[in-house]
Amino acid sequence: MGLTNLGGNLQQTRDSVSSEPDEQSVYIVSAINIGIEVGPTKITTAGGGSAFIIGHPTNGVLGTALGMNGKQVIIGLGGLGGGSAIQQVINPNSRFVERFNFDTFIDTSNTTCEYGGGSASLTNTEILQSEVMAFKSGTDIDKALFRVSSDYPSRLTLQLQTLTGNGSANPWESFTNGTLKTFTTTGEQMKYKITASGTATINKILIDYS
Amino acid sequence: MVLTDTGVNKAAEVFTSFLTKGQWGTGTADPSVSNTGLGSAIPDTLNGIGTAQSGNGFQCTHTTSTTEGNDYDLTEYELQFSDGTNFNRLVSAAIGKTNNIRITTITTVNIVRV
Repeated sequence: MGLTNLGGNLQQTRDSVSSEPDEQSVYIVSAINIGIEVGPTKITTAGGGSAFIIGHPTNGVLGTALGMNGKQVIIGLGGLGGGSAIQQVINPNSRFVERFNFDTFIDTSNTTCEYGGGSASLTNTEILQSEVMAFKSGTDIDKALFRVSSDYPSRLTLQLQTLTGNGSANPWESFTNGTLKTFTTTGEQMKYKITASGTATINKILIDYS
Repeated sequence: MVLTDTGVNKAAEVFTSFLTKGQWGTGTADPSVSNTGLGSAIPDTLNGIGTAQSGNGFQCTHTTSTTEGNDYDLTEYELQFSDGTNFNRLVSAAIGKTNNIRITTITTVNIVRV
């Protein structure tokens, strides 16, 4: 290649470089949807106890057993000695949701499985049982739809129990996962119990009721 | 693309800090998505809340002391953002508030994929 030709080639290369292609932008558009799920609200009271309270429907009646702590009403007994009592548990749209981030509704006395961190892990015969997880004073619960998200739902026996307004328990009743059922005995409060017949992990519990 | 567990949990952590107050009222109308607050708030029950976050959930705990809300029938409750904007509203059966009762209200909220 002669020097003349070499110069021509260099000029051609410069022309190529200077005529850059149009800049192109690539946009990647994606949508992420995040939902806010308001779960149960638990309302408890402390106090009341057996103190006499003028005008109170329960603690304002002398001579009648059972103040708010279940003991005889006594004049002069004050303070917050009545302990803590569940007054109500309100679930938006009458749907209880358990995702195992907290143990607020776990009955730690009767539960034998491991729970927490977003799931409950049951092995054979282990039990997951709740405290009262639905309670609107004066309103009976007469039917429920019990749904459990699990890797082995067939290994789980589902039961619900209603209680009267003052906490008297009715018999446990069996439910089928995802099937609406009417209670034999209704009540203002409700608890659930799950018993395993093998290993299973539960990620979420939904209980709709009316 | 997926929304990771880490992302959902962080969203819960962030959102937890947005809710700062709770309050009781005496309204009895059924809750509605168009509600902008309580029907009839009891001023001295407006208190700061405690919060706790775990995984994709968080809890808001509000306490009404023995000196607050007395002689009212408490029937509705809300959580508020720091500027007073309403977050939720529930209606309960009446709770007669007297000066020897303390009321604790715990609300659980989850951040979820939809």
